[in-house]
Amino acid sequence: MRSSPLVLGLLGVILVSSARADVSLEYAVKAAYLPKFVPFITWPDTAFANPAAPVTICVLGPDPFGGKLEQTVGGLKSGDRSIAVRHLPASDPSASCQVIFVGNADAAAAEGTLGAMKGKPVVTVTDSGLKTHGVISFLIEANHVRFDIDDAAAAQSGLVISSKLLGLAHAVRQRGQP
Amino acid sequence: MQFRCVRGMMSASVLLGGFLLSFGVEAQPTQLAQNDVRQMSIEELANVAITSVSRRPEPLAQAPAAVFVISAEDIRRSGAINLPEALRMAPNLEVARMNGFGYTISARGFNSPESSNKLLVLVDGRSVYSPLASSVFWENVDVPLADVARIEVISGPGGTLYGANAVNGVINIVTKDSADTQGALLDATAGSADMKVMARYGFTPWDGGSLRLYGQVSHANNTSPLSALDTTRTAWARNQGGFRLDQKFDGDSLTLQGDIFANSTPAMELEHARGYNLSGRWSHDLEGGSSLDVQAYVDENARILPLLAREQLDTFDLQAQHNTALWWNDTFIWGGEYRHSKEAFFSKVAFGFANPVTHLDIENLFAQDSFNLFDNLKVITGIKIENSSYSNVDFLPDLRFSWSVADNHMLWASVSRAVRTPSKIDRELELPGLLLPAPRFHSEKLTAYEAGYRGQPLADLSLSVSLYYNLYDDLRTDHYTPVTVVPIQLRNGITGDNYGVEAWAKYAVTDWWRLSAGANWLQRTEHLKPGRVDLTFGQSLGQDPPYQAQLRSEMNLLGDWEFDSALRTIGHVKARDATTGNTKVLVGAYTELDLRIGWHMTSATDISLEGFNLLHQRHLEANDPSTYAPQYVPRAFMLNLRQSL
Repeated sequence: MRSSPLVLGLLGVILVSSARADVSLEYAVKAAYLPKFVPFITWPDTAFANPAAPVTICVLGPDPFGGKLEQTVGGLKSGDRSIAVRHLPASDPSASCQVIFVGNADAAAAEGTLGAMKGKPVVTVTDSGLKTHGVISFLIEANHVRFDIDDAAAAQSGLVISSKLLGLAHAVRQRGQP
Repeated sequence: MQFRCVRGMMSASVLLGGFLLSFGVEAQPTQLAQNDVRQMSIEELANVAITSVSRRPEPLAQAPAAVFVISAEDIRRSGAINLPEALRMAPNLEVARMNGFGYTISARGFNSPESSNKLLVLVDGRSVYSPLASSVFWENVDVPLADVARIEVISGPGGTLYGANAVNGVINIVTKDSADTQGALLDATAGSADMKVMARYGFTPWDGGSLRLYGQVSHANNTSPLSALDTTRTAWARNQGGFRLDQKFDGDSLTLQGDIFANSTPAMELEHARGYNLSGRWSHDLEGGSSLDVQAYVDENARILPLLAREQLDTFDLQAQHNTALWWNDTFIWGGEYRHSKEAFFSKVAFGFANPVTHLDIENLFAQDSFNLFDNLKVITGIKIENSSYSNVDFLPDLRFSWSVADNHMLWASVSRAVRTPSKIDRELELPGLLLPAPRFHSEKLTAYEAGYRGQPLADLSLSVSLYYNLYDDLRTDHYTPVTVVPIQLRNGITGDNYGVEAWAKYAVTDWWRLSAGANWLQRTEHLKPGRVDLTFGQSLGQDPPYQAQLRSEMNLLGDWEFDSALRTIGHVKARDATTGNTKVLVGAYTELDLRIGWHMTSATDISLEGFNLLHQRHLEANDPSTYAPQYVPRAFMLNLRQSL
């Protein structure tokens, strides 16, 4: 019964119509984490176009947050800078991003993006389904959303991450470790 | 529930694209759970369970009901030293401290030791409600607060899924999974009025398993009496230990936990209480996304009052529920519970029981279906069929609606029926010549109509408002014989209605300052049924203030410092004096303030200085001389250390 095309079709209708309201709790939690990381990270001045530029979180590829990220970020500030969200269809080196979120949708493109961002002052955040990890990587452990931090990669990119955030992470690859 | 089934189809279907994960994850968490998530700190986000292992719908996620959740962080920031103090944070509860050890807690009225019998309290699914007196002896319910994951406080009938006697509310205390409490922790508090030391150690004994062991010793000082003639000393000493073992394997999770305690007080000629409990839960994933949960527990405890009485209560409970779906977009849950208690009460005074030992059963079967009627309208319909040794079969239906009016706003409404089954005291207490047993005393009944709003009217503000109208029937009265007055017999002589409003809000003023506010307002009209009398002038109706309000503030300063405060104001309690029948003020209105300064000294050490009830040297919260001599609650200062290793 469950595999019949009629049911599939009906399901599709339900899904599309209810999709507006239904971003899972998992992605709501991830959307809540992202702007909270920002105050704990220090970018070099060269990462910003000017002192008034916002800290921009770029979401690469299809939006798994269903608009939740904009809602979560709205009005938040980190020090003097506000936080902004942009959606990019593919890796765009000319876009001024301080944080890039790489979703599960396309693993191959994700690897390419992470390679391109190495050494650049950009915090790459990878979703829990990806095998390659960015500076911060989400994981699901025992039914909770947690995150790992690769501080060595952050050091190579000229980023400084506060020890308080390192203390809250699930696992940390320290600077100076191979 | 259909998550797995749906996900399998999803990957084969082109239609569904990026919304793969969005449908069917645990009873469709609504906008509201996500908005609560938005205001959480990183520590709290790490503790959010994204799906419920038991498939029991997370009340906060979707319940069309008045639910307030106290999180582990809330408990830590409040400095609460025991469970009843932590429960003060729930704006939909009335919490009144009576003396050194005693608290009386209820929701929507009926608060006093005699009458707070309409609240079901569960610790990890184990009921701590006493069938002897239909109430909760809070002094014997202790859970190490550092290991509490959350406390769900539901005011109003618990609905189909919770057990018996969830008439005016359910308090569900959930402890942390032992996988989340690994390593050693010391939580020690010392102060002018209380002291508590808890030590816990968690480790992984084998693959997929986790275990924690804890021990806790606490002591509460005597409180000062209202009357100069009162010489009772109500200090309370408590020793408790326990464990929790969690095992996870493919699609299954198993939990085994137990506690053992021994408490004592000089009051009532050196009362002792001791007991143990052991409970096991098994959650099994079935094909097609459904699941089965089974829980069983054993709870034996004894209370010894050397010159007055000895009580022994042994309980065995077995409950199971099956979570599945009847068609493609609903959640269908059905199951049952059987509880057998052996209640033995040996009295050394004139009041007693003809049969000191009674075997009591309470059992129920329930079914609940929740589905979307239109795009934004969710319907939950349930029925519980309950039977007990002291009552006939009761049919308890429950119907709830929730309407997502807009992205961030939900309206809900419900109508339900609940009953409070008779206790052993109601039915069998006697004193030959003076008090007759009451074999025809039957359940107290409630039909509740509720409605509410929950949403985010502003970006940083979440708000919940609930209204209720409760129709009660067959509330307890002390019936007396005309002319001779004695013998007295308990009857169901009062009917009436209560109505009120409960509201709370959370506001993130800045990213380092959060405010929460809560209030409730209660109006009552009860009257005797025609031809009935009540010797105690409505003692079973409790003592309740007409309003309560609180404001809490949490500030994170300079990185490692926390400054928290809680202001509460409670209205006066007026009741009819049980002897004269005249209405008088029993407890004056009061306002009190708690303050806390916390220092996150290192990543493993937290120290805090706390002051409670700072505005007055002492104040009165409860005054019911027929149960305990009224005593004052003092101003207190405490120092707390939490050290992990």
